[in-house]
Amino acid sequence: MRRLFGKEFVFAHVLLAALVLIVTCMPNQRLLNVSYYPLLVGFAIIEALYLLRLATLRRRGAFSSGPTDIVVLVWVLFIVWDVCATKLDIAPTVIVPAPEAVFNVFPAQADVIGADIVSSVTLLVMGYLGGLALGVALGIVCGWIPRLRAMFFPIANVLAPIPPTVFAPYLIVLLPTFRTASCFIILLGVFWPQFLNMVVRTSSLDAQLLDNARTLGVRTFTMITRIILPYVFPEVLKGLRVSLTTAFLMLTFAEMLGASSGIGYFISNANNYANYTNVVAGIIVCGVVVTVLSFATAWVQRRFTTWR
Amino acid sequence: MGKIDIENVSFVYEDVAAAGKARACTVPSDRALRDVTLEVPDGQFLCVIGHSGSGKTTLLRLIAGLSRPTAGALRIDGAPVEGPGLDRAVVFQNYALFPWMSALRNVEFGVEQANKELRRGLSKAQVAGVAREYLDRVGMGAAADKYPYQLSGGMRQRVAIARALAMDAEILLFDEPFGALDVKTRCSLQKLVDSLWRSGERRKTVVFVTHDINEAILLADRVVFMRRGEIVADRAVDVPRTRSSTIFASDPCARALKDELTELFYLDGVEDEDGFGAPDEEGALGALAGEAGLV
Repeated sequence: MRRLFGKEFVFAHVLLAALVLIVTCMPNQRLLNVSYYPLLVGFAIIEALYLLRLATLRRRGAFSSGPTDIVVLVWVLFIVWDVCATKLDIAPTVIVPAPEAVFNVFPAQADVIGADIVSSVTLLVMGYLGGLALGVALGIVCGWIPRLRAMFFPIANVLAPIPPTVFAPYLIVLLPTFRTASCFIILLGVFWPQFLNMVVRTSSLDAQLLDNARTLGVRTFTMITRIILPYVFPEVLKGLRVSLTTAFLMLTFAEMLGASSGIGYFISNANNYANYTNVVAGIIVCGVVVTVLSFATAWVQRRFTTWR
Repeated sequence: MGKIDIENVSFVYEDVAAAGKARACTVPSDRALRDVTLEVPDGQFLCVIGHSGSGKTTLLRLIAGLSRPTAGALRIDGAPVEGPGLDRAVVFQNYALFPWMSALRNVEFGVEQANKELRRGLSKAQVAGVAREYLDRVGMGAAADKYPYQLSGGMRQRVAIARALAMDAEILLFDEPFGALDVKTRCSLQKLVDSLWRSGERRKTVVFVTHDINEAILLADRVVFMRRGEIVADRAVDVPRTRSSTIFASDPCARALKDELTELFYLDGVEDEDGFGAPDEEGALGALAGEAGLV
């Protein structure tokens, strides 16, 4: 069996050492007033996550070349980025900012970025949970009652494929605040797939399972809470991550359209001032936020899928 | 009490009925059940046997209240059956348990429902106690926290039996509960059903649908044979309990009944396949006897 701490592991750390040397020992004249410590902290965080992953794999007695391959790729990209942007000066400085400058944005504008993250995540969670709850609840009702299903399923099939983004300009005018409009756009993005999924899942509930419940004298309320909900629950969980991606897409789109806070706004605002250092920093924040949320969703999925 | 009265009951499936309307009448062959009359006294163990499509499961579904008769009357203790009720517990062949509930929760859910609907006034702890007791009785106490996907087919059916018994219904309905199990598991579950049924304070009325003649004779007080929606034979099983598979060698009554039912099974099958009443080759007999659980 291949070892987790083999040659590849050593290679990854040689690359890291080279990267640290390049950053610390070969300063660029233009960046003399830019501290490289935030970048080193960034490296330390990546390294720590990598070692944590290896430790988890080791504890489970499993092997995966994935973490090492990923981290090698990350270090190579950083080396190429740093060398091109700061050492060789072959990339246009304005468009390709130095990694040191990008990572300096985080401590320098921590309060702004923090507020933007809170604003975005609040909006995202509201729209996401709203869309999810409405989609599941209405989907179950429409799936359960044949008449409603016959009425709403064809309507949903017409409306669902319309990208919620096309409603955005109109919703911004129609709804009282920009936040409600953004929230509604996210809600729409999450609602339709969940709704359609729930209608199909509920209406295809196994007849024998239903008979089984009926012979136990189960009434409508118990049927929905104890039989149908647990039955459709794995399907809801399965759709969580896809819905999250959609929600985040809608969020950043809405924010870039005309918000006054949020990560999307941070990026589009920086873009307006041709401050690409902030743009790249904003993109990194986006990636981190969506990854954290995705991990949280995966945890929820694992935690609650016990019977399959 | 658990007396079942079935009087001239006929049943036509809705889709067949719709097609029948187009022909302005419903011909007899469309009916899944044809004028079935059957009386099951309280405490009797009745086995219903027949080939697939003979109407035995349809009959069980009508008793369970999952379908309504197209014609005729079906009464339990004199009251017409309007729908499913907690006076009848059913053990199905598939999906006998809810996959998202552990074995214990499955049994508890049945007891809870009976407790709630029949106002038995049991506390939560008592419900759990009853569920545990019945799981122990079917030998599944150690697997109480396991989910159905973690259990074998036989274990799942044990839990389903525990739930049916724990609900304390007057009538137990079994729809080919062991049809998908291997011979060894099937034998041990037959013994379990037999001993649990006999050990109760008061014997429940049981309607047990199967296509296995041996199973029917080992378990039942009475066997009815169905064919194309009709009861064509109704026999008492005059064989002393406890029974084991050796009774077919040692007890002439059991042997004679088995031969008679085999004959019925056999004739039925040949007619179904060829449209004639006479056997023509040994291969057909072997196949049919195999299906009837004789080999």
